[in-house]
Amino acid sequence: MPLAILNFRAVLLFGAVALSGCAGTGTGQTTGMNDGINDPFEPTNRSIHAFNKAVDGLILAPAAEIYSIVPPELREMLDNGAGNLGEPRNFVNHVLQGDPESAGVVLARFLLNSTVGIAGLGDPAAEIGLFSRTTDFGETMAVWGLPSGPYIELPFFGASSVRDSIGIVVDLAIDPLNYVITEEQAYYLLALRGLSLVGDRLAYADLVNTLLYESTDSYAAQRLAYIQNKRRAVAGETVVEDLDDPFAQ
Amino acid sequence: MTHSHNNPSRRFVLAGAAALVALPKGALALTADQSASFVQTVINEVLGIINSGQSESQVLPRFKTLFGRYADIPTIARSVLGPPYRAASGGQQRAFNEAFQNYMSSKYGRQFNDYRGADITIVRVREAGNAQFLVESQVRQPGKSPFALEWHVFDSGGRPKVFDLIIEGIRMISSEREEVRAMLEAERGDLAALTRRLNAY
Repeated sequence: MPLAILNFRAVLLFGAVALSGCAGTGTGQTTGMNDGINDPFEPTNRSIHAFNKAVDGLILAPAAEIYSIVPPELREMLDNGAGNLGEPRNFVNHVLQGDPESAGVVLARFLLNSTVGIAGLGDPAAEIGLFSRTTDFGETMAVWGLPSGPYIELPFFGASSVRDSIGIVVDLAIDPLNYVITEEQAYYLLALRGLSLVGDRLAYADLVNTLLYESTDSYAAQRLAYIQNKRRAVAGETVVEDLDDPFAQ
Repeated sequence: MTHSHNNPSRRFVLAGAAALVALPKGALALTADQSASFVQTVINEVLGIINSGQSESQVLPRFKTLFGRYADIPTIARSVLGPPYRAASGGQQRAFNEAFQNYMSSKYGRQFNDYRGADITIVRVREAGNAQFLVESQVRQPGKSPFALEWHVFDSGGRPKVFDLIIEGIRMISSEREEVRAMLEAERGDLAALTRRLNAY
Protein backbone atom coordinates (compact mmCIF):
# COMPACT_ATOMS: atom_id res chain seq x y z
CA MET A 1 0.00 0.00 0.00
CA PRO A 2 1.64 3.24 -1.09
CA LEU A 3 -0.08 5.00 1.79
CA ALA A 4 2.59 3.60 4.05
CA ILE A 5 4.83 6.39 2.94
CA LEU A 6 2.29 9.11 3.56
CA ASN A 7 3.34 9.78 7.09
CA PHE A 8 6.84 10.59 6.07
CA ARG A 9 6.76 13.98 7.65
CA ALA A 10 5.71 12.68 11.02
CA VAL A 11 8.61 10.31 11.29
CA LEU A 12 11.28 12.11 9.37
CA LEU A 13 14.07 10.09 7.94
CA PHE A 14 16.73 11.40 10.26
CA GLY A 15 16.59 12.33 13.90
CA ALA A 16 18.06 15.80 13.63
CA VAL A 17 15.45 16.71 11.05
CA ALA A 18 12.98 16.37 13.88
CA LEU A 19 13.92 19.99 14.55
CA SER A 20 11.71 20.95 11.61
CA GLY A 21 8.60 20.81 13.67
CA CYS A 22 8.00 17.82 15.88
CA ALA A 23 7.51 20.22 18.78
CA GLY A 24 5.69 19.37 21.96
CA THR A 25 2.19 18.17 22.56
CA GLY A 26 1.82 20.09 25.77
CA THR A 27 0.47 17.42 28.07
CA GLY A 28 3.15 17.63 30.72
CA GLN A 29 2.98 13.88 31.24
CA THR A 30 6.01 11.66 31.11
CA THR A 31 6.33 7.99 30.40
CA GLY A 32 8.87 7.08 33.02
CA MET A 33 11.44 6.44 30.34
CA ASN A 34 14.91 7.41 31.50
CA ASP A 35 18.24 8.00 29.90
CA GLY A 36 19.06 4.31 29.72
CA ILE A 37 19.01 3.41 26.04
CA ASN A 38 16.96 0.30 25.30
CA ASP A 39 18.37 -1.12 22.08
CA PRO A 40 18.40 -4.93 21.98
CA PHE A 41 18.20 -4.94 18.16
CA GLU A 42 21.31 -2.84 17.77
CA PRO A 43 23.11 -5.08 15.23
CA THR A 44 20.05 -5.15 12.93
CA ASN A 45 19.41 -1.47 13.51
CA ARG A 46 22.98 -0.66 12.55
CA SER A 47 22.60 -2.52 9.24
CA ILE A 48 19.41 -0.61 8.50
CA HIS A 49 21.19 2.60 9.45
CA ALA A 50 23.90 1.88 6.87
CA PHE A 51 21.15 1.28 4.31
CA ASN A 52 19.37 4.53 5.21
CA LYS A 53 22.61 6.44 5.02
CA ALA A 54 23.16 5.06 1.53
CA VAL A 55 19.62 6.10 0.57
CA ASP A 56 20.36 9.58 1.90
CA GLY A 57 23.65 9.82 0.05
CA LEU A 58 22.35 8.41 -3.23
CA ILE A 59 18.83 9.80 -3.38
CA LEU A 60 17.70 12.22 -0.68
CA ALA A 61 20.71 14.53 -0.49
CA PRO A 62 21.09 14.82 -4.30
CA ALA A 63 17.33 15.39 -4.60
CA ALA A 64 17.60 18.20 -2.04
CA GLU A 65 20.45 19.68 -4.05
CA ILE A 66 18.29 19.72 -7.17
CA TYR A 67 15.30 21.01 -5.21
CA SER A 68 17.35 24.05 -4.17
CA ILE A 69 16.78 25.56 -7.64
CA VAL A 70 13.08 25.90 -6.78
CA PRO A 71 12.48 29.44 -5.42
CA PRO A 72 12.32 29.44 -1.61
CA GLU A 73 8.84 31.01 -1.64
CA LEU A 74 7.48 28.12 -3.65
CA ARG A 75 9.25 25.56 -1.46
CA GLU A 76 7.70 27.17 1.59
CA MET A 77 4.25 26.99 0.01
CA LEU A 78 4.61 23.30 -0.78
CA ASP A 79 5.88 22.66 2.74
CA ASN A 80 2.90 24.55 4.17
CA GLY A 81 0.56 22.56 1.94
CA ALA A 82 1.96 19.26 3.15
CA GLY A 83 1.82 20.45 6.75
CA ASN A 84 -1.77 21.60 6.37
CA LEU A 85 -2.84 18.17 5.13
CA GLY A 86 -1.30 16.71 8.29
CA GLU A 87 -3.61 18.78 10.51
CA PRO A 88 -6.55 16.32 10.48
CA ARG A 89 -4.22 13.65 11.86
CA ASN A 90 -2.84 16.12 14.43
CA PHE A 91 -6.40 16.99 15.44
CA VAL A 92 -7.48 13.39 15.99
CA ASN A 93 -4.39 12.67 18.05
CA HIS A 94 -4.70 15.77 20.22
CA VAL A 95 -8.28 14.75 20.94
CA LEU A 96 -7.18 11.21 21.80
CA GLN A 97 -4.51 12.71 24.07
CA GLY A 98 -7.20 14.64 25.94
CA ASP A 99 -5.68 17.95 24.92
CA PRO A 100 -8.59 20.11 23.73
CA GLU A 101 -6.44 23.25 23.67
CA SER A 102 -4.00 21.83 21.11
CA ALA A 103 -6.87 20.23 19.21
CA GLY A 104 -8.51 23.66 19.02
CA VAL A 105 -5.33 25.32 17.80
CA VAL A 106 -4.85 22.66 15.15
CA LEU A 107 -8.47 22.91 14.00
CA ALA A 108 -8.28 26.71 13.83
CA ARG A 109 -5.05 26.42 11.83
CA PHE A 110 -6.63 24.00 9.39
CA LEU A 111 -9.71 26.15 8.85
CA LEU A 112 -7.78 29.40 8.54
CA ASN A 113 -4.92 28.10 6.41
CA SER A 114 -7.22 26.14 4.09
CA THR A 115 -9.24 29.29 3.35
CA VAL A 116 -7.32 32.52 3.95
CA GLY A 117 -4.10 30.60 3.37
CA ILE A 118 -5.37 29.35 -0.01
CA ALA A 119 -5.51 25.57 0.26
CA GLY A 120 -2.86 25.64 2.97
CA LEU A 121 -0.13 27.13 0.79
CA GLY A 122 0.22 30.05 3.18
CA ASP A 123 0.42 29.95 6.96
CA PRO A 124 -1.55 33.01 8.11
CA ALA A 125 -2.40 31.13 11.32
CA ALA A 126 1.23 31.30 12.46
CA GLU A 127 1.17 35.05 11.91
CA ILE A 128 -1.51 35.40 14.57
CA GLY A 129 0.36 33.13 16.98
CA LEU A 130 -1.30 29.82 16.13
CA PHE A 131 1.86 27.79 15.61
CA SER A 132 1.85 24.24 14.34
CA ARG A 133 1.49 21.50 16.94
CA THR A 134 2.47 18.39 15.10
CA THR A 135 1.76 15.09 16.79
CA ASP A 136 1.08 11.47 15.95
CA PHE A 137 -0.31 8.27 17.38
CA GLY A 138 3.07 7.25 18.79
CA GLU A 139 2.89 10.33 21.01
CA THR A 140 -0.73 9.58 21.81
CA MET A 141 0.28 6.16 23.11
CA ALA A 142 3.07 7.81 25.10
CA VAL A 143 0.54 10.17 26.69
CA TRP A 144 -1.58 7.16 27.55
CA GLY A 145 1.41 5.86 29.48
CA LEU A 146 2.63 3.19 27.09
CA PRO A 147 6.42 2.79 27.16
CA SER A 148 8.39 3.37 23.99
CA GLY A 149 9.79 -0.15 23.94
CA PRO A 150 13.11 -0.85 22.26
CA TYR A 151 14.66 1.62 19.84
CA ILE A 152 14.19 0.69 16.19
CA GLU A 153 15.64 2.14 13.03
CA LEU A 154 13.18 1.56 10.20
CA PRO A 155 14.23 1.36 6.56
CA PHE A 156 13.41 4.72 4.87
CA PHE A 157 11.55 6.07 7.91
CA GLY A 158 14.66 6.17 10.08
CA ALA A 159 14.76 6.53 13.86
CA SER A 160 11.77 5.07 15.70
CA SER A 161 10.75 2.77 18.53
CA VAL A 162 8.39 -0.17 18.82
CA ARG A 163 5.66 2.16 20.06
CA ASP A 164 6.26 4.79 17.40
CA SER A 165 6.40 2.17 14.61
CA ILE A 166 2.98 0.91 15.67
CA GLY A 167 1.91 4.55 15.72
CA ILE A 168 2.81 4.98 12.06
CA VAL A 169 0.47 2.15 11.08
CA VAL A 170 -2.36 3.31 13.36
CA ASP A 171 -2.07 6.87 12.03
CA LEU A 172 -2.80 5.57 8.55
CA ALA A 173 -5.99 4.01 9.85
CA ILE A 174 -7.20 6.99 11.88
CA ASP A 175 -6.17 9.85 9.60
CA PRO A 176 -9.51 11.32 8.45
CA LEU A 177 -7.85 12.53 5.27
CA ASN A 178 -7.30 8.98 4.08
CA TYR A 179 -11.08 8.46 4.10
CA VAL A 180 -12.00 11.47 2.03
CA ILE A 181 -9.40 11.51 -0.72
CA THR A 182 -9.53 9.52 -3.93
CA GLU A 183 -6.78 7.12 -4.90
CA GLU A 184 -5.48 9.62 -7.43
CA GLN A 185 -5.37 12.33 -4.78
CA ALA A 186 -3.50 9.94 -2.50
CA TYR A 187 -0.69 9.84 -5.05
CA TYR A 188 -0.57 13.63 -5.24
CA LEU A 189 -0.45 13.75 -1.46
CA LEU A 190 2.36 11.24 -1.49
CA ALA A 191 4.29 13.38 -3.96
CA LEU A 192 3.66 16.51 -1.89
CA ARG A 193 4.91 14.83 1.27
CA GLY A 194 7.92 13.52 -0.60
CA LEU A 195 8.75 17.05 -1.75
CA SER A 196 8.29 18.37 1.75
CA LEU A 197 10.74 15.75 3.04
CA VAL A 198 13.26 16.73 0.37
CA GLY A 199 12.69 20.35 1.40
CA ASP A 200 13.44 19.47 5.02
CA ARG A 201 16.61 17.71 3.94
CA LEU A 202 17.60 20.94 2.20
CA ALA A 203 16.55 23.32 5.00
CA TYR A 204 18.40 21.30 7.63
CA ALA A 205 21.29 20.20 5.43
CA ASP A 206 23.98 21.34 7.86
CA LEU A 207 22.40 19.60 10.82
CA VAL A 208 21.79 16.37 8.96
CA ASN A 209 25.25 16.39 7.42
CA THR A 210 26.86 17.00 10.81
CA LEU A 211 24.86 14.19 12.36
CA LEU A 212 25.25 11.63 9.59
CA TYR A 213 28.61 12.35 8.06
CA GLU A 214 30.67 14.10 10.72
CA SER A 215 29.77 12.02 13.75
CA THR A 216 32.25 9.39 14.80
CA ASP A 217 29.26 7.08 15.32
CA SER A 218 26.30 8.41 13.35
CA TYR A 219 24.06 5.56 14.44
CA ALA A 220 24.53 6.37 18.13
CA ALA A 221 24.24 10.11 17.46
CA GLN A 222 20.93 9.72 15.64
CA ARG A 223 19.58 7.33 18.27
CA LEU A 224 20.37 9.77 21.07
CA ALA A 225 18.90 12.70 19.16
CA TYR A 226 15.70 10.77 18.46
CA ILE A 227 15.23 9.54 22.01
CA GLN A 228 15.86 12.93 23.62
CA ASN A 229 13.77 14.86 21.09
CA LYS A 230 10.89 12.41 21.45
CA ARG A 231 11.05 12.59 25.22
CA ARG A 232 10.66 16.35 25.05
CA ALA A 233 7.82 16.11 22.53
CA VAL A 234 5.93 13.68 24.74
CA ALA A 235 6.49 15.60 27.99
CA GLY A 236 5.74 18.93 26.29
CA GLU A 237 8.97 20.37 27.68
CA THR A 238 12.53 19.37 28.41
CA VAL A 239 12.43 17.21 31.53
CA VAL A 240 14.53 18.92 34.20
CA GLU A 241 15.28 15.64 35.97
CA ASP A 242 17.08 14.38 32.85
CA LEU A 243 19.66 17.15 32.87
CA ASP A 244 23.30 16.47 33.60
CA ASP A 245 24.57 17.79 36.91
CA PRO A 246 27.44 20.28 36.68
CA PHE A 247 28.27 19.58 40.34
CA ALA A 248 28.62 15.82 39.83
CA GLN A 249 32.15 14.73 40.61
CA MET B 1 9.51 55.33 62.20
CA THR B 2 11.28 52.18 63.26
CA HIS B 3 9.05 50.48 60.82
CA SER B 4 10.70 51.91 57.75
CA HIS B 5 14.08 50.94 59.14
CA ASN B 6 13.06 47.52 60.19
CA ASN B 7 11.35 46.42 57.07
CA PRO B 8 14.20 46.26 54.60
CA SER B 9 16.49 44.40 56.95
CA ARG B 10 13.75 42.00 57.91
CA ARG B 11 13.06 41.38 54.26
CA PHE B 12 16.76 40.82 53.77
CA VAL B 13 16.88 38.27 56.56
CA LEU B 14 13.81 36.51 55.19
CA ALA B 15 15.27 36.44 51.71
CA GLY B 16 18.50 35.07 53.13
CA ALA B 17 16.63 32.39 55.04
CA ALA B 18 14.66 31.48 51.92
CA ALA B 19 17.88 31.20 49.98
CA LEU B 20 19.34 28.91 52.62
CA VAL B 21 16.30 26.70 52.48
CA ALA B 22 16.36 26.61 48.69
CA LEU B 23 20.09 26.01 48.49
CA PRO B 24 21.00 23.62 51.27
CA LYS B 25 24.52 23.13 49.95
CA GLY B 26 25.25 26.79 50.66
CA ALA B 27 25.95 27.68 47.05
CA LEU B 28 25.66 31.35 46.17
CA ALA B 29 22.14 32.23 45.24
CA LEU B 30 21.85 32.55 41.50
CA THR B 31 18.37 33.82 40.73
CA ALA B 32 16.05 33.23 37.79
CA ASP B 33 16.34 36.91 36.84
CA GLN B 34 20.13 36.84 36.91
CA SER B 35 20.11 33.69 34.78
CA ALA B 36 17.81 35.28 32.23
CA SER B 37 19.83 38.50 31.97
CA PHE B 38 23.05 36.47 31.74
CA VAL B 39 21.63 34.42 28.86
CA GLN B 40 20.35 37.60 27.23
CA THR B 41 23.91 38.96 27.31
CA VAL B 42 25.21 35.80 25.67
CA ILE B 43 22.44 35.87 23.04
CA ASN B 44 23.23 39.51 22.23
CA GLU B 45 26.90 38.69 21.75
CA VAL B 46 26.09 35.65 19.60
CA LEU B 47 23.78 37.73 17.41
CA GLY B 48 26.42 40.46 17.22
CA ILE B 49 28.95 37.95 15.93
CA ILE B 50 26.77 36.15 13.41
CA ASN B 51 25.24 39.33 12.03
CA SER B 52 28.60 41.09 11.76
CA GLY B 53 28.92 40.09 8.11
CA GLN B 54 32.33 38.54 8.77
CA SER B 55 33.43 35.32 7.11
CA GLU B 56 33.34 32.00 8.94
CA SER B 57 37.11 32.03 9.47
CA GLN B 58 36.83 35.43 11.17
CA VAL B 59 33.81 34.43 13.20
CA LEU B 60 35.13 31.20 14.69
CA PRO B 61 37.92 32.76 16.82
CA ARG B 62 35.32 35.15 18.24
CA PHE B 63 33.15 32.17 19.19
CA LYS B 64 36.15 30.58 20.86
CA THR B 65 36.61 33.67 23.07
CA LEU B 66 32.88 33.85 23.76
CA PHE B 67 32.75 30.17 24.70
CA GLY B 68 35.70 30.64 27.05
CA ARG B 69 34.09 33.61 28.74
CA TYR B 70 30.54 32.33 29.24
CA ALA B 71 30.80 28.55 29.44
CA ASP B 72 32.48 26.64 32.24
CA ILE B 73 34.87 24.68 30.05
CA PRO B 74 36.61 22.54 32.71
CA THR B 75 33.22 21.48 34.13
CA ILE B 76 31.83 20.65 30.68
CA ALA B 77 35.03 18.86 29.67
CA ARG B 78 34.95 16.74 32.83
CA SER B 79 31.29 15.87 32.35
CA VAL B 80 31.85 14.92 28.70
CA LEU B 81 35.02 12.87 29.10
CA GLY B 82 34.09 11.25 32.43
CA PRO B 83 36.46 8.79 34.17
CA PRO B 84 39.45 9.34 31.81
CA TYR B 85 39.33 13.03 32.72
CA ARG B 86 39.43 12.35 36.43
CA ALA B 87 42.31 9.91 35.92
CA ALA B 88 44.36 12.46 33.98
CA SER B 89 47.03 14.72 35.49
CA GLY B 90 46.41 18.45 35.92
CA GLY B 91 48.56 19.20 32.87
CA GLN B 92 46.72 16.69 30.72
CA GLN B 93 43.41 18.12 31.87
CA ARG B 94 44.45 21.67 30.97
CA ALA B 95 45.64 20.55 27.54
CA PHE B 96 42.39 18.69 27.01
CA ASN B 97 40.31 21.70 28.16
CA GLU B 98 41.98 23.89 25.60
CA ALA B 99 41.57 21.39 22.77
CA PHE B 100 37.98 20.85 23.82
CA GLN B 101 37.32 24.61 23.73
CA ASN B 102 38.67 24.70 20.18
CA TYR B 103 36.56 21.73 19.10
CA MET B 104 33.31 22.92 20.68
CA SER B 105 33.62 26.52 19.50
CA SER B 106 34.39 25.43 15.93
CA LYS B 107 31.59 22.90 15.80
CA TYR B 108 28.87 24.93 17.49
CA GLY B 109 30.16 28.26 16.18
CA ARG B 110 29.43 26.95 12.68
CA GLN B 111 25.93 25.97 13.76
CA PHE B 112 25.29 29.33 15.36
CA ASN B 113 26.60 30.98 12.24
CA ASP B 114 23.69 29.36 10.37
CA TYR B 115 21.28 31.30 12.54
CA ARG B 116 22.20 34.53 10.75
CA GLY B 117 19.20 36.84 10.59
CA ALA B 118 17.45 34.83 13.29
CA ASP B 119 15.47 36.21 16.16
CA ILE B 120 16.35 34.61 19.51
CA THR B 121 13.88 35.43 22.27
CA ILE B 122 13.85 34.20 25.87
CA VAL B 123 10.44 32.69 26.57
CA ARG B 124 10.76 31.31 30.09
CA VAL B 125 13.08 30.36 32.92
CA ARG B 126 12.74 27.25 35.05
CA GLU B 127 14.60 26.17 38.14
CA ALA B 128 16.69 23.09 37.42
CA GLY B 129 17.97 21.96 40.79
CA ASN B 130 20.67 23.29 43.06
CA ALA B 131 21.80 26.74 41.83
CA GLN B 132 20.80 25.85 38.28
CA PHE B 133 18.33 27.28 35.81
CA LEU B 134 17.02 26.29 32.44
CA VAL B 135 16.52 29.38 30.29
CA GLU B 136 14.38 28.60 27.26
CA SER B 137 14.75 30.68 24.14
CA GLN B 138 12.97 30.41 20.82
CA VAL B 139 14.93 30.71 17.60
CA ARG B 140 12.92 32.05 14.71
CA GLN B 141 14.33 32.17 11.21
CA PRO B 142 12.59 33.22 8.04
CA GLY B 143 11.32 30.19 6.14
CA LYS B 144 11.98 27.69 8.95
CA SER B 145 9.92 26.41 11.83
CA PRO B 146 10.85 28.07 15.12
CA PHE B 147 12.68 25.80 17.52
CA ALA B 148 13.53 25.73 21.19
CA LEU B 149 17.09 26.44 22.30
CA GLU B 150 17.55 26.03 26.04
CA TRP B 151 20.48 27.22 28.12
CA HIS B 152 21.33 25.22 31.22
CA VAL B 153 23.14 27.73 33.40
CA PHE B 154 24.56 27.25 36.87
CA ASP B 155 26.35 29.10 39.62
CA SER B 156 30.01 28.47 38.93
CA GLY B 157 31.77 29.80 42.00
CA GLY B 158 29.63 32.92 42.24
CA ARG B 159 29.22 33.60 38.52
CA PRO B 160 26.58 32.34 36.15
CA LYS B 161 28.05 30.09 33.47
CA VAL B 162 26.62 28.01 30.66
CA PHE B 163 26.83 24.29 31.31
CA ASP B 164 24.68 22.77 28.58
CA LEU B 165 22.80 23.80 25.43
CA ILE B 166 19.63 21.94 24.53
CA ILE B 167 18.11 22.06 21.07
CA GLU B 168 14.53 20.72 20.95
CA GLY B 169 15.34 18.45 23.87
CA ILE B 170 18.65 17.19 22.43
CA ARG B 171 21.36 17.88 24.97
CA MET B 172 24.78 18.99 23.76
CA ILE B 173 26.67 17.45 26.67
CA SER B 174 25.20 14.00 26.28
CA SER B 175 25.65 14.12 22.48
CA GLU B 176 29.27 15.15 22.92
CA ARG B 177 29.82 12.57 25.62
CA GLU B 178 28.92 9.92 23.06
CA GLU B 179 30.93 11.60 20.32
CA VAL B 180 34.09 12.36 22.29
CA ARG B 181 34.14 8.93 23.93
CA ALA B 182 33.77 7.31 20.49
CA MET B 183 36.74 9.39 19.35
CA LEU B 184 38.74 8.31 22.39
CA GLU B 185 37.91 4.71 21.59
CA ALA B 186 39.04 5.26 17.98
CA GLU B 187 42.31 6.57 19.44
CA ARG B 188 42.58 3.40 21.56
CA GLY B 189 42.09 5.31 24.78
CA ASP B 190 45.05 7.61 24.18
CA LEU B 191 44.07 10.94 25.75
CA ALA B 192 47.02 12.80 24.18
CA ALA B 193 45.96 11.59 20.72
CA LEU B 194 42.37 12.66 21.41
CA THR B 195 43.64 16.08 22.54
CA ARG B 196 45.59 16.47 19.28
CA ARG B 197 42.53 15.45 17.30
CA LEU B 198 40.32 18.03 19.03
CA ASN B 199 42.97 20.70 18.57
CA ALA B 200 42.98 20.03 14.84
CA TYR B 201 39.18 20.12 14.51
